[in-house]
Amino acid sequence: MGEGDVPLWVVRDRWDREIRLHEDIWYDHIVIGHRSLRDHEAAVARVLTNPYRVTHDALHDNRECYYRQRSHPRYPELFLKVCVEFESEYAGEVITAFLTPKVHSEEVQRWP
Amino acid sequence: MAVILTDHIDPIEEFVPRQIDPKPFRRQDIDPAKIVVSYDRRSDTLLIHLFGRGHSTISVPVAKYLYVMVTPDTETIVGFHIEGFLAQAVNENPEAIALLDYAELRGITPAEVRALQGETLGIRSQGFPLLREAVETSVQEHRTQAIAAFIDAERSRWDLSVVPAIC
Repeated sequence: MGEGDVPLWVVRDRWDREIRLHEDIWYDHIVIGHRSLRDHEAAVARVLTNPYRVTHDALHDNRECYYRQRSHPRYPELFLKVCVEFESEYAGEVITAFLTPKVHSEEVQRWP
Repeated sequence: MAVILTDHIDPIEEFVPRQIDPKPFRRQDIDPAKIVVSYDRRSDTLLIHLFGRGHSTISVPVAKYLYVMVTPDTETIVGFHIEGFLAQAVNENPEAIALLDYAELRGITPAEVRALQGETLGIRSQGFPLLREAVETSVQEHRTQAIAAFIDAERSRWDLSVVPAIC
């Protein structure tokens, strides 16, 4: 495990897949690009463990998108969208997260 | 380091999403020195912050890979968010790869960018950066023009009537 590969947390989704959020993704991509998520990494974890919708990513076959509203304390009316790339059937990692007002119409719903 | 999180959201509960009506920015408010372009190879995401990165933002989808970023309070457009930049946006609009010349890069080196630009644009990219440096008055100006060219190209594909011209 190299520098930057340290997971901030590891959670399991409803299909018992292990999903990690790495420090470098969080600090160097998500927080720097989407300032409103700073200090809300626990909210990102909640989206994965208790999502409102899960979709197949519109562009990448090995990615899924998790959505949940009432995740961000300042913007409960928005969805927090979290995209996960799965390297296997059992494990994946968060690659991006951001606030959005709706589920993307180009994504195919996986759950519920 | 597992985190146990048990609070529950009912997936069948009716949820009324917030309606967002993106408002155009004023072109004269853009300070070229404050524009930040960043690219993350891992997620293949390109972000364009027109007014710096100081704003909280909401990403509003306008097309398959393109979002406008608006502020939560005034819903004014403050940037663009492209998911699948190389996988989709550059595929459909090869000239968009020029934006990487002005981007803070994460997970990709400038040499890899050059190679990708060579593959994507072929001879058009040969010696392009050197030529560009010689003839352009400033990087900021050219970065702004590259963003404007990208938005104009997207405008021909999607309804971006709410987005004003940048140059």
